[in-house]
Amino acid sequence: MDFITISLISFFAVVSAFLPPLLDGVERKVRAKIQSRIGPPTVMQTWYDLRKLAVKELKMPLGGELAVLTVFLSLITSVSSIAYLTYVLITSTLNPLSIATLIVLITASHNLTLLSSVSTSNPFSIVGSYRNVTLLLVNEFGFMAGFIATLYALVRLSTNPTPLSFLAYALGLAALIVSTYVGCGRLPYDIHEAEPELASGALIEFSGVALGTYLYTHLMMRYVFSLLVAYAISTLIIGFTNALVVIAVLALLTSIIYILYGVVAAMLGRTRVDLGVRTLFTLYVSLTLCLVVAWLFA
Amino acid sequence: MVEALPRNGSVDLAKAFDKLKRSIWVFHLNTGSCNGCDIEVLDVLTPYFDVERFGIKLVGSPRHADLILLTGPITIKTLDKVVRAIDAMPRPRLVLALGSCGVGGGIWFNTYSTLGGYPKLQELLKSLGVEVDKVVYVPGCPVRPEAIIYGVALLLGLAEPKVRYERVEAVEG
Repeated sequence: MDFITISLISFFAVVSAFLPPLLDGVERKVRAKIQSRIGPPTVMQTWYDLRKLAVKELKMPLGGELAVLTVFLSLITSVSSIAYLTYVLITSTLNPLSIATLIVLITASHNLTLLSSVSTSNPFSIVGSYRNVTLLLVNEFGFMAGFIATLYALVRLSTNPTPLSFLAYALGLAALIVSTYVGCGRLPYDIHEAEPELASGALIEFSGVALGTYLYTHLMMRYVFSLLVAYAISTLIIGFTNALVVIAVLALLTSIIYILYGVVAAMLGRTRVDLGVRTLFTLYVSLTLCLVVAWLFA
Repeated sequence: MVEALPRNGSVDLAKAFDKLKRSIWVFHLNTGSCNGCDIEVLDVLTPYFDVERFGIKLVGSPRHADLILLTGPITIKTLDKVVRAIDAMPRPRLVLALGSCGVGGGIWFNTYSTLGGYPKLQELLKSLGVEVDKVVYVPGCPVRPEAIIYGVALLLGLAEPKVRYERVEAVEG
């Protein structure tokens, strides 16, 4: 790997760390526009929120040291997943090992966030977290199936572009889009945001810098999921040319997908958690069955 | 006002207060109100007034809040929950006492079942060692939505106060 590629990867990783709160600010403005409001004063509002949380007092919940530690570990894992994903996408080193590493890093960040809320002494926080666990158990299955199926279909398309290969790609992409949307924690799957309104859930005990880190990690994970979808779409459309083009296209497409998810969320309402789980399970099983049939005939 | 805030352990209160001017998260605390002021609080949060344009956001936990919107005369039944909610807030913690009841107890200023407004609660909080960094009183029965927004602006030092709060004791008989 030459110096320019390393510099580009570092640059994109740093930009990826700063972009999510900015995109969240844009999303808030767009959402306000849809709801006929003005919305936050600037697109930097999420940055201002995080900056404020960073200087506020940290009220440590009873027995919550482990919870706060896991929040910071979760941030480290999500930053690592962005850096590794950038490296994999730019150098085109997608192989079973790198895919497995990516899945482990992404799911580890999610699971550490959940572990942080289970670690507190607040029973309401624990109850709320288990609702999230139920949802993630179903979604992780859909995410893995969608991610692997999309990558496999992309490989098949490059060697044997038949209509059935396209169908397999479309089905895999559909599973990936739905699972990343749910993984982003958007309506009606925004349990970590919805639960505090019922005085329970993962966030309820966090304050100050711990809350800020949790929210920042969450935004980073949203960005990672959008980046994965952007990669799955851009690879089919443009293919890989050089690292700079890949970076520019990925950054632009990721931002568009991030905002699009926000627009979809603004138009949806909340639903019951058990209904969400049931719907997702039915959808993923149906998509997987269709995928298997498409692969068999392709 | 900003310079007057001291350090609290590792937290620089003046610096933290300065950051609140662009982002302030509020927690709605009903202490036994008739719901008149609560409806006006909800009105402030609707798209019509859209307080998100001032960086204001409603949160569901006092742990996340910078400011408590306190309504009601603080009934004895709610007292321990009110104290615990205010104590759960990270510093700098701010309070907006809303409506006639929140400001001074309203018609419940000296009944057996209420504390009689925020000033008496503040004395109690002080005796319990719970510091509140700044308070603004917004009178009205019910309080107007515009007055609530103006109260937040006053609290953050974004507007100059037009009147001064003066506490008077009621004379029995």
